[in-house]
Amino acid sequence: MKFPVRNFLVLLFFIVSSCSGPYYLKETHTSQTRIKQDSLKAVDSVIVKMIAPFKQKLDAQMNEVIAVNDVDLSKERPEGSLCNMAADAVLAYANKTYERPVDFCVLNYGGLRIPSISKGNITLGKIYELMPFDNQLEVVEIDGKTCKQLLDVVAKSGGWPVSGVRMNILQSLADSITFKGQLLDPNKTYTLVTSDYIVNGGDNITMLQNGKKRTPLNYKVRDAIIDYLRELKNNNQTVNTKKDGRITITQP
Amino acid sequence: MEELQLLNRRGFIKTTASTVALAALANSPLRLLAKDEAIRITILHTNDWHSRIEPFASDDKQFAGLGGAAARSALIKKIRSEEKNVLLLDAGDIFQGTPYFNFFEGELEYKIMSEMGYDLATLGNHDFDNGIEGIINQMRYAKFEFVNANYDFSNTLLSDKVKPYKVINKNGVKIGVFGVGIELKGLVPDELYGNIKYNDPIEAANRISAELKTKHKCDLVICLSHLGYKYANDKVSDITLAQKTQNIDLIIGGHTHTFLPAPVKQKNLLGKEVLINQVGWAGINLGRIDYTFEPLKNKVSQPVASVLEIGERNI
Repeated sequence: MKFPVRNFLVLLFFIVSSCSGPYYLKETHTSQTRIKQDSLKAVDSVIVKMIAPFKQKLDAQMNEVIAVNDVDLSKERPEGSLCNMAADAVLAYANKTYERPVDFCVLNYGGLRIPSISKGNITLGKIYELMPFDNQLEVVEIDGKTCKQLLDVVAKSGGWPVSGVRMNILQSLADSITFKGQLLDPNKTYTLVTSDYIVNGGDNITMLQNGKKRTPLNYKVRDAIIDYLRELKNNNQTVNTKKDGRITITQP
Repeated sequence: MEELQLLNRRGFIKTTASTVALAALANSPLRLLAKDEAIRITILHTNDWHSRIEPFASDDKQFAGLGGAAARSALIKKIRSEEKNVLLLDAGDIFQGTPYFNFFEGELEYKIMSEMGYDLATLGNHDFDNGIEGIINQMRYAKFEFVNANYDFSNTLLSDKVKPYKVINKNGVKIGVFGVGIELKGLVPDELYGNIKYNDPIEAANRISAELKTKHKCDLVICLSHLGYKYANDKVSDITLAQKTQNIDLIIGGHTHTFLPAPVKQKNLLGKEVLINQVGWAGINLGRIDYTFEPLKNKVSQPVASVLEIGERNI
């Protein structure tokens, strides 16, 4: 029964020394929680209500199935099937609209924003997730030397989505570059389609701004991909883009 | 006092005794003295949630069913019901990634974060995807504030809307939070970030964190960084930021979408440990760091320390 005495002593102490000073950090504990509705078994109904009207508007448009996917498309380096599909789509669009054949397409790896598209239906919303940016397409005419500089950046970063060109990455540089089986000619002029983001120096691509001729196509990268997929569906074809060795890498 | 010290030396202050003591304290007119209790500060954080309002679709190969604002909010509200001193922070790239941003331009993202009770966020490169005006137009929906210390916003519309830092007082514990952002040139089209000037984040971090520690007497200094966790080249990252500064306790990072399994410790210029954390992207994980603070005067090395430990054990 000594407790009261002790309590008194403790209280007394607090009174005596109650002038507050700065704090010191006694202990740190860290953790993280995976947000998974199934396991957390809880959703905030206030948020659900906030989302509802927005979701309703989007779903009406975004749930449209624009193509059927026969393979699992994935974003990979040096080459990925998802990367190939996107670059093929852009090159196809450019070849339909530009005044002369377009040799190749380069897109930045970071521009594809989801790691994969699963086998099955591809919705319009999925392509917005893949390519959420409103970047527009642009065709640039460049000489072979500039092509090499550009593809060296692609090689250095480990591989980007490309179409119309094949290359090997050797010691972080682009090697054995070919277009339709022909080796790159440093003095020849090539036509490249990419996004305005890249032409303007995005991702530190500095060599395209002084291209011989720049032609904005006034069309979004995303819309080119959407068109490509819709067309496959309209022709009763499925998406089955595979890796075809367009970028290989010689391991050091 | 002599008897008290005797008590301490013998180490026989028992848990029960201290509980009673603290309970008595809580109910007594001496409540003012509650400052002498240990205080737990709970930091919750996200980064790069990129307009991921809904969970990933069930057919997603990596993230099926993960994320979602409604589940995140439920978790945050649950933690708030358990913890008194919660600080909710975001390290940037709130915008861009789903049609919600393409069609509604960030309105819902800011509204949701306001409902969750976010305190502060910093700006990531993708927050500029609709330009400076794109941020300002949505700020009316944000009940939280933005911090950045290394972008010079003068001559832009953001000049009075983004502060270098903010000091938050939680139950007497002063927490200084500032932000640093990545170089926008080459990452964001020039016309979207306009006249914003990029300054060295390390210089800004050292200057601001010193101000927070010395002038504002912050007990905890947190940096919300959108620099990126780590790079193979010498580009400034959270790792270099930690190494080259001296008053930061915690760096909450973003940009590289790095899923750190646990916060990483890095020694600063003075050899003191800085905690760096980043929780991937898309609102898949919620980071949590609990700091327990005690009044400095009761630190173990000081004569009165053991009395304070009573409180620590029981809170």
